[in-house]
Amino acid sequence: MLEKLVAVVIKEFKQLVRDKRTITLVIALPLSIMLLFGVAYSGNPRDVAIALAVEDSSPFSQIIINRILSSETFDVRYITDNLVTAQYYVEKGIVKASVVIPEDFSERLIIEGESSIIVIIDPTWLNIPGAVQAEINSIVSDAIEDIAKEIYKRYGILKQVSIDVVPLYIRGNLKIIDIVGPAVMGVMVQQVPLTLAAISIVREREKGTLEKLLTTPIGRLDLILGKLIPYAVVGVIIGVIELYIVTKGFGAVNYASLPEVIVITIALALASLGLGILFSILSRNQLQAMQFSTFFLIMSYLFSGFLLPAEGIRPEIRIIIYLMPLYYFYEGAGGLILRGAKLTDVLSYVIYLLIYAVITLMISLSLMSKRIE
Amino acid sequence: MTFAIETRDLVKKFGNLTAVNHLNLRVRKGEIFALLGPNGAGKTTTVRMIMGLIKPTAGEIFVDGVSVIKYPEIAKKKIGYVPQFFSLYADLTVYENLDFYGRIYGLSREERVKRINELLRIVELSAYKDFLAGNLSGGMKRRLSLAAGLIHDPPILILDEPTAGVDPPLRRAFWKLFTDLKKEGKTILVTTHYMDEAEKADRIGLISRGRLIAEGSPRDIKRMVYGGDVVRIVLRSYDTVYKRMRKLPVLVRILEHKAIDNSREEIVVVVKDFGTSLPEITEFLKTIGAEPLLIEPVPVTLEDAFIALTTRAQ
Repeated sequence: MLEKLVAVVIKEFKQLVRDKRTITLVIALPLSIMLLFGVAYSGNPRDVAIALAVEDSSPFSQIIINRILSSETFDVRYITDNLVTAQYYVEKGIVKASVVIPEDFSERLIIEGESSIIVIIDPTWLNIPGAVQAEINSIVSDAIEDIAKEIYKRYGILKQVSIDVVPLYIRGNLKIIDIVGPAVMGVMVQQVPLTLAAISIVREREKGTLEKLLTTPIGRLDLILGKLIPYAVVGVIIGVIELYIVTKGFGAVNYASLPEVIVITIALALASLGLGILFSILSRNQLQAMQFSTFFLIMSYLFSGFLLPAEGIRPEIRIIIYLMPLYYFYEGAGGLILRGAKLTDVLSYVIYLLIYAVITLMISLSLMSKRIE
Repeated sequence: MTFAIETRDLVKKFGNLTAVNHLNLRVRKGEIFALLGPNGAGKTTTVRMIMGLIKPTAGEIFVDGVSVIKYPEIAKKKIGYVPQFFSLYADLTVYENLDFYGRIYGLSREERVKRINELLRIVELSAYKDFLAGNLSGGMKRRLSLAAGLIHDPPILILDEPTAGVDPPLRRAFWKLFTDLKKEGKTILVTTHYMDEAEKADRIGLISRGRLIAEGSPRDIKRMVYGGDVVRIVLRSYDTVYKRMRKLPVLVRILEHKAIDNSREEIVVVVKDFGTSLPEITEFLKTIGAEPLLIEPVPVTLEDAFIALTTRAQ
């Protein structure tokens, strides 16, 4: 009994370590993901893109502005003089939040001893709203003493001041299902076609059907595109169905129209397929292709900006986020579905995804041999 | 003369192993050429190089005068290829598989319908056209593969071990089909390790350890072993005859000489060509006063020839 068990164990171990690619995939890849994860997630959010609206340019406002400008958490992209513009930046997804110092800020401060500043927040992101509010709260509470001193210096009044931070969510605050909906949709639209594509060519290789196919006049592009189109269709259908289940069935927010959703979904499906084909060409067998696909799922879950936005990832390895098709999708689809952005507002993300698809396809074509060696 | 398939100093090395070693193969148009050799001799490697599936380490390959290395796409269209192992889609039906390949070769809808039905009839699979290819028996799969290789009506057909593991009736049917295809003017290159079926080919290339050790018609190959035809002559016993036999004009050499019993002796000789020299032999025997009881050619099997030639090559 035990001997038979040992025989199987020994055989499995041998098969596991026989091929160098399999060893790499089984040991090196999980280790490097853990390492990346540790580095990426151990920092605090930095360089969150924000806009500043200074409606009241008093010395008291200046104290807060200076602190915001020197905060490592924020990267102030725009400074304006009115709330409407600041809100526009957030709605368009140009910045993740806007800090507004209202017109009556210093007046109320001097007369009432209490005032407020407004933070306009894009609630699309899981961790950003909290981080932005926490940082603003900390800036304000640090600044209170300096402001009190400034009031004394200028007016000779010594009094306690307090400043409220009022959050203002564009389109209202979002439920967790609203935020996670597009992410789940993205994962499915990415993963289903990616896995199909990853297996596609290596399966023909393993089954021996590639040997016959490669002796025909079929071109590499015909073969690859021919495989991709059905998978892309499947991916898009899955994505749209998922979105409608979540929105119609469970009441999640959706401001996007069907054509808009289809456009960005097709773009993601194509980018995923390009990557899947590349995995298929890099794999020796279907097992390896599956491992590539599985690890990429973990990677895109961790590094697509959904769980931790780009700003939360240490700048040293932030580049990894730009290698994930899901990042561009989430930026784009999040805008369309959750912020009510128009397709023209997120067109750049659609284009990035299409470029991603073209690049991965070109790499695949150049690596794919019309031979069976 | 342009050969249907020609390889010039073809070499393929896999690491330290030389699978194909300076192979010069010439397949003439319109013939059935059998590339004969044991397993591991380099047959499949050679065929795969001709099909452009693996890159030669050195040498050149021409298909109907077109370089496979320089113009693989043009060369490939001239060949119908039937790989050693089943390489069609198990989850498509017989008809769908053929239709797929028909489309790849650019056949129109009408052409495909006509051609597929014709091929299904030829390989006797008409009744199975809606069966999933994966559910066919081994023999049927072979027939389907052959049909797929013929879908674009190529002038040259290459079959890699088409009869390995196939029962005798089907093997016979395959060779019948090859003959029919030859009559249509097609060139057929078939690899095999069955000596008996190679005898049916017009010409044979004997391959061993990646080298072509002999090439020619089955008869030529056999003659190559002894340098002529082997003839057994049984005579009434006379002491002097054996020595005089050396003067036989068509003689190549004497292989054996022994007494069968008190009154008869047997001489086995090699002559240049038995067919044309029989009258000369009888005449000669008469002049030396011998009394022949029997003059017969000794059949040499291809297997004998193969073993003799491979041992000699080493």
